[in-house]
Amino acid sequence: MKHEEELQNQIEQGLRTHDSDDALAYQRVFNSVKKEPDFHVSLPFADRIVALIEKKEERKDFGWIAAGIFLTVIALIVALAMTKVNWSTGAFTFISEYYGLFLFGIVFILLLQWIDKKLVRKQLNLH
Amino acid sequence: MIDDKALVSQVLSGDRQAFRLLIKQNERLVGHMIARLIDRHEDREELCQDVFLKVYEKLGEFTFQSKLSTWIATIAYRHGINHLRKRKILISDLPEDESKIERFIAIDDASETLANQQLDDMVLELIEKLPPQYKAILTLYHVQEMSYPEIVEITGLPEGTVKNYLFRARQLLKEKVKQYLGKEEVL
Repeated sequence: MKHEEELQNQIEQGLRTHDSDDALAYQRVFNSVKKEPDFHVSLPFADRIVALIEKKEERKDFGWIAAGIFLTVIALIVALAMTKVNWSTGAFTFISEYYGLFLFGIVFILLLQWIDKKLVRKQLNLH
Repeated sequence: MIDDKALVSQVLSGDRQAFRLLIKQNERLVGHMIARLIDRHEDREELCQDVFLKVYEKLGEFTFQSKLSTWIATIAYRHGINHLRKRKILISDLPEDESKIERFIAIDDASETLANQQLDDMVLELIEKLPPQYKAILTLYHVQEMSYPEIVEITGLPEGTVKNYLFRARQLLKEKVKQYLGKEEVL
């Protein structure tokens, strides 16, 4: 055991040449074990992982949005139930006078969100 | 070359390009570790992918107590070992009994089927037949040129065990090579 250990150390440090069968065999082993295993990941490996991460995060974002909408609806129902609100459309009649403006506002906000998601965030990730 | 702290901070801030760089810098290390632990070629790439997804998920917990590559190698090693456990593959130490060692490295198989191959190839095939922990330690020490403390951190084994596994793996390989060379001389 001690002899074997010493032999391994000497061969590893290049202090001994193959002057015996054991030394020669160890020399061959040390030469071979340095060789890399024959395996390489495919070329677009990094891109594939990043795509998987993006997909996962998109799903997470969608989950948060869905949860937000659900909770908002629940909060609205609870608020209406607790305040026993009397429905009157009178307060909202002014909207019909600014119908175009309200529609433009909604479309504009959605457009900004889309630009942010598709262009701005993508650019940030490229740099 | 960008240092570990800057790279990690860029990845954590959402920079995908930085994560691509992190993968490129460490894919060989992870690939070697998984390839040595896992025999099934079809499982290897998927496991490497899982390792990097885990790295991304856990990167915020990395405390810079070690090199980033050591931390990534630890994840790769544990992921590989867990995969083997799930498939109920023996990962324990080689039995002391000499007759049982023969189960791992069959002399006759090696000499008959590999007689015409290069010795390097033969040794690499014999390495494949060693227990996973022996293979992992051989790779970390000889291919990745890692120090004992780094290997201890990655494998979670005591330093004495790491040294012992390395010694025994090399000794087992030497015995087979010696026999092979002996037979070659007779021929």
